[in-house]
Order: sequence, then C-alpha cells, then structure tokens
Amino acid sequence: MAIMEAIATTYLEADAATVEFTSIPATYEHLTLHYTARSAGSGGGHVIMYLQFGTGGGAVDTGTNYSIHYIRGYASAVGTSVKTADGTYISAGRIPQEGEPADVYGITKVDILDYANTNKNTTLQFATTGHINGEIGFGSGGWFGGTQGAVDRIKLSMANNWVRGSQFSLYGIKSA
Amino acid sequence: MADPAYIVDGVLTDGEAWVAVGSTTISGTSTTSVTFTSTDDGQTGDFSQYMDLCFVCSGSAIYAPASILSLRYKINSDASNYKSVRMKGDRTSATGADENYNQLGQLVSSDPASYQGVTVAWFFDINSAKNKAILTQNGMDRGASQDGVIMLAGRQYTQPEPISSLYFYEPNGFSFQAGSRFDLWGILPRMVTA
Repeated sequence: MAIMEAIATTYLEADAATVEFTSIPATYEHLTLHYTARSAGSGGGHVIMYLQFGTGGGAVDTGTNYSIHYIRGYASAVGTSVKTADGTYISAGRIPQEGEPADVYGITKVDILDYANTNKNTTLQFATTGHINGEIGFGSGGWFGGTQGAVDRIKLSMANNWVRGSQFSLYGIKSA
Repeated sequence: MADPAYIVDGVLTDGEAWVAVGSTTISGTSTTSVTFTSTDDGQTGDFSQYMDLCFVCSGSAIYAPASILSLRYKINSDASNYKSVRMKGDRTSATGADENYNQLGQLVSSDPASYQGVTVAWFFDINSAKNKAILTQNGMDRGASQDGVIMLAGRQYTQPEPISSLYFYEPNGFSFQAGSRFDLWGILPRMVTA
C-alpha cells in the first residue's frame, strides 16, 4: 500500500491567477503541499499570498476564519515571533516578485494535519524561503470557523498572477 | 529495459509517490563522502522522473575534540554557485545569517560519543531550469554539557541544470563515524493540466 500518494501536480505553462486543488479525497491521514512559486507583481519584498480551504464540495471559505503565527529569519537576525489578527486567508510562503531577481522562485512546504477530522480546527505548519534579502520563515496557521468539515478544496492565489513555471504539488499521507 | 515495479505498461499502479532511491550506512573509519548519482536508466535511481528529492542524514564524524562539524554538499560535482540563509538556535541565542557556500547541515564530532546530527533536506523541482532550491531542517543534541543546534535554512544552487548527482562530505576531510546513515528518496508528481 502506498504511504505517500501524489494527488496532483500543477505546473503553470502560463501565468495564472489561482491554483486550486478540488475533490481532495478524505482517505489520507495528512496532506503535504509543496510549491516553487513566483508572483507577477512588479514590486519587491514580501507579498501576501492567499491559502484558503473549502469543504463539502463548495467554494473555499472566504470568511474571517483563518489565523497565522510565524517567525522569520534574515541575513543578520531572527525576527520576533508574530501572531497576526484573524483574517480571510493564511499567507504561507515567501513569494519572490518580478521586481526581484528573475531566476528565483520561492519554495514552501506545507503540512496540513488531520485535515479530514471534522471535530478539530484544521491546522497547518509551513517552512518557506524566497532566497532574497536573506529571508526564511516557519509558521503555523489554522482554519477555525467552527463550521468547517473535512478539507476537500485548497485554493492558492494572490493579488497578482502566479508566474509561468510556478509548480504546486499536493500529496496525501496514509498510515501503515 | 524493464519498468520499475510501480509502473505497469507506463501507468502508475499504486500512486506511491515516495520512492527509495538510495541508502548508505557507513562502516569502517575511512569513508569521507557519500554520493548519489542518477542512473539515467528509467529505473528508481533515475533522477529525471522525480519532482523533488528528499535527503535524510543521521551522522557524526571522526574528530576527537568536542566540536560542531559541517555537512556540506555538491550538486553535479560543483563546489561553487551556492547561496543560503538560515536561522539557528542554540541554548543561549537565536541568530540569522547568510551562508553563501555549500553548507547543508551539521555533524557531531567524536565527543560526545554516540550523538548524531540530523538533517532533512528537500530539493525542489530538480529537473527544472530554475535555480535549484533546497529547504533544510537540522537538529543536533549533544547532551547536557554541550550546546545543541537547531536550524532552518533556505539554500540555493544558482545553476539551471537538472540535478544528476548529490555529493555529501565533511569539509575538513574527516571520515564519517560508522553507523552514520544517508538516505535519499525521490518524490514523483501526478501531473494535471494547468
């Protein structure tokens, strides 16, 4: 029996506004999501991305039902641990923009634990780096609306497009 | 040429995404490096089929004084073209720093005995023309009398070629301790239309 299964990989052959994984089966214990991504935004520096969950076959939840807590490291220091106000998404990734070096795609690994358990708020952890200005981050996020069920949809978007060549892979992890 | 067991008539049969590529456990006292090279034959050792690679090391090196040693790496035998940033904590402080060389993780020296440095490294999108990006997590405990280290790092090999070999070594030329272990897995994609 497979322990880690590839659910889907999306490799963008053109810029795209969103990447969405749908009809995620509830047959795994955990999910893990890897992406190497870049934003079409013209600026530089940290850009917000939106990771959102859906359940029951519907669209993702856009309510103020998400939280995030993270710590960042830089070339010269480690920043303080930050808990942001609850919001409508989890920004899980340092995504380089078009105003930054062209050959750099940020990398992020997200673990979404016990995602099909309807008696828990869905919790994730992520590690990320954009390689630019010496920045690395580690964080945790939650989807806590109280009405959520098993995660069957994950949407990844931002204010600008994802750039061609960005790649997103979702895996399911089973127990033995 | 036969297909790997998880591919039948060109189709993935069980969806297994995590494929064991190679494993080395050190014996003796003279091994100073470990290399994993793509077999380029369509079998499990062929790197060209994988989206990512995952490397795990539990290791120490032969050097008598109590010391924190480095585990370094080379992609495609290249000793240059590396960048990274890391944040590190020991028992007294947390720091951030650039490490613009081919640092990957840490190894424990011979003192204290029987402790290991552990490194998990994810090599992303290894067959793309992007700069190759690596996310590493390290942990090293050396008991109550010595500092330990935990570290999270984003590393880059700033060349566009696909990864066809990975070479791991201690930069002073110290041998790995017997029992040190190095494992490599390939992570398969399941492509969908974008």
